[in-house]
Amino acid sequence: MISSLPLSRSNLILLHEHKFETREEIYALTPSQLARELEINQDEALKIWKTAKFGDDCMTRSVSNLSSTNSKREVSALNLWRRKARQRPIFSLCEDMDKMFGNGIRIGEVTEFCGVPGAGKTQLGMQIACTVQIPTDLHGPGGQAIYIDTEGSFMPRRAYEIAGGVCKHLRGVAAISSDEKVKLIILDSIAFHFRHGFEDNYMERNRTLTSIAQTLTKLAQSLQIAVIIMNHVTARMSASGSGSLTPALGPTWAHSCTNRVMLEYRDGRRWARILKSSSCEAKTIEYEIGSDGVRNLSPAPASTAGFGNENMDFKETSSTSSKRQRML
Amino acid sequence: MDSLPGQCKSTVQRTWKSTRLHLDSKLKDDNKENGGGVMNIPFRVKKRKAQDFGRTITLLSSVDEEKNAEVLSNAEVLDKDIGAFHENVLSVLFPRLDELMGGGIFSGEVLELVGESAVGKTQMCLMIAARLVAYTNSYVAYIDTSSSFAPNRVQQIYQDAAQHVLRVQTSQSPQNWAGDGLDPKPKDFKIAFRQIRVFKVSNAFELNTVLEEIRKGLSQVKVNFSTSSLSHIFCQLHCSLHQDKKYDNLQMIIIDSLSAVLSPHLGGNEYQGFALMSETSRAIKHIVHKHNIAAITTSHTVSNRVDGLKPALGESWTYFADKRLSLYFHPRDKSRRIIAMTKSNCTEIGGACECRISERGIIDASGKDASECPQSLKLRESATHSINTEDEFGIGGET
Repeated sequence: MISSLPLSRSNLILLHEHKFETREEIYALTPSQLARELEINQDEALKIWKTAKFGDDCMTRSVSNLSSTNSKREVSALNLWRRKARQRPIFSLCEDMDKMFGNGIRIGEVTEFCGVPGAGKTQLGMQIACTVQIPTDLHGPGGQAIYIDTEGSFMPRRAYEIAGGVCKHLRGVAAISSDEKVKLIILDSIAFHFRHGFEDNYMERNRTLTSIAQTLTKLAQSLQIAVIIMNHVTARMSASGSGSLTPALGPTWAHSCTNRVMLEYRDGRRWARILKSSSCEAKTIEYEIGSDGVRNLSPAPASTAGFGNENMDFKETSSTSSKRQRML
Repeated sequence: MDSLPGQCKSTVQRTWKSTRLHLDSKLKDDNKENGGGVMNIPFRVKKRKAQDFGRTITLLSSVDEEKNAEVLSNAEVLDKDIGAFHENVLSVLFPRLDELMGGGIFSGEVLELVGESAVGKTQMCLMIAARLVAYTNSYVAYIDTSSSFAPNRVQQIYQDAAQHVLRVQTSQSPQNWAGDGLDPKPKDFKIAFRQIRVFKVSNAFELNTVLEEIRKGLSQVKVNFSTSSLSHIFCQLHCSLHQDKKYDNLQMIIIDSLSAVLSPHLGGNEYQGFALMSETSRAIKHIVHKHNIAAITTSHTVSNRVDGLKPALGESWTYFADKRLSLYFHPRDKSRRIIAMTKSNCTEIGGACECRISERGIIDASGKDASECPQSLKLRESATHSINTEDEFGIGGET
């Protein structure tokens, strides 16, 4: 049926006026015959003809040619399983978090991290942007990262520190070489521009958000890259009057991402919890952020108890902040 | 199990009821041996015979390329076309949920799963796909719109299902089974995984293209032995030699999630929303009815600013599915879910059961408190099925 083709409204009206009803009728003619029939120029007619022939959006076909033919669109589950087994996972260098995801940040899927300010979303984003460059010789992804910063929270000096931490972790192996392929996109954050300005037009916001999510999902799947999105949190009041923190942008956005992780920060401790995932079970892990970046919770030394540990924690953070102040 | 869900009034359902009772008693013994809470192995039941139709029935069915409707006007003609009509009941869920649905998932029908984010719709779809390929040789077309198909998770559920098949079959001899197509040995998951064909689509237009492709593939298949013309049979056999094997035995189409690709086109300046919705629903129903395939679609909910949740695709979409299961979070226990039957064409609605998500898939959560009604949940339903909380989660009347 014509009305379900991705054509502009004016073209649909034009086709309807000339009594075209099915796709077959359109591509039965040649493009030049179609141009004569509809009294439009050749290029327009060619676009309409192509859309009727192939059914889907010609515009997006140019974005990723990999998914342009039907045969590429369909795979057996076995091929998907094999492809997954062959993937080089993206480690975040926080072991517990990698284990929570099964094998590292999931490739081919969109993962969303939401949390209160200060939970460590940007830190984590910068760290993963560094770890994705671990070369393939060291069993890393060996790719580049695209970091989209919408709220100005990317700090080059801090990224430098974190990159130093990554290199230290690899025990000073020489230059991180990477091939030209992008393996990661980080969007920090999606919520910033969408939380205000759409007050009387939630439908518009939801539509825009859904189309962004669809584009990112398609990129992730077709190019086999990981996409990470940061989100804010908002309070949700339940019927009993008590509030709880819930990811921002509403239930429509909740359905858009494949995986969702909530980063919590309370009493000086940081937790990561899986809210939604099709393959990882719901787990909560604790992590910490030091000068090297996001790492596993360091085990408490057996000799010193209670107070000693807290002092160590304090010392570390104060030294980090003083270092930062000196550099700035 | 002496009372079945629903009031069986029509002739057709009476026949089904008696067949079901016969098989139920057979399966009751199996369940006793293997302990409670164990899945049923699907069985194929010849449910309807045309001679059960006591009256003249006029049936409009569309043949070939949509435009020409063929009017069949009496029971003899029905017998010719539908005499070989098998309707399968696929019991791939846990027993309580199968009961709720009148036996399981029916082929030739569309089942819709509705729920909030992360409630378990995808898990249900993965479990159904994994179990179907574990129990039978049939193919499943899995249309994935949000890259939620996780091969490792499907493998996990499959291993468990294959173990169960092995247990059940070693405990009794194979000739007791009414079904066919069950393998005598457990299948390697790699063989089973070839039976799941995953289609990745990212917008509504691609979805329609994929459905069109499936429809074309299927229409090249069926060798219909009820036609009397010999040359016609030979012609069809010739065609069937060349068609793709996967359309031979396609039993189920799963679309996860349908609302994710359709909802961006609704409302505002979007002019194609309803056209796309009707085209998609037409395409799905055509495949489902003509080729006797089961379809499962998922749909999400959005918040109604006043109270609770409403379906994302609006009121008009509530008429699309033949059966609908609504999934909710348990109000008190975060690890449990509630599944309620909120629309059905042949069983009673309003029943609910509790479940958990485990490594085996979605399983029954110790059914002791299955009759508790969560009073605080509200869901706006379509006018013909307006249900308030009390009715929706009434004390489950099923046995």
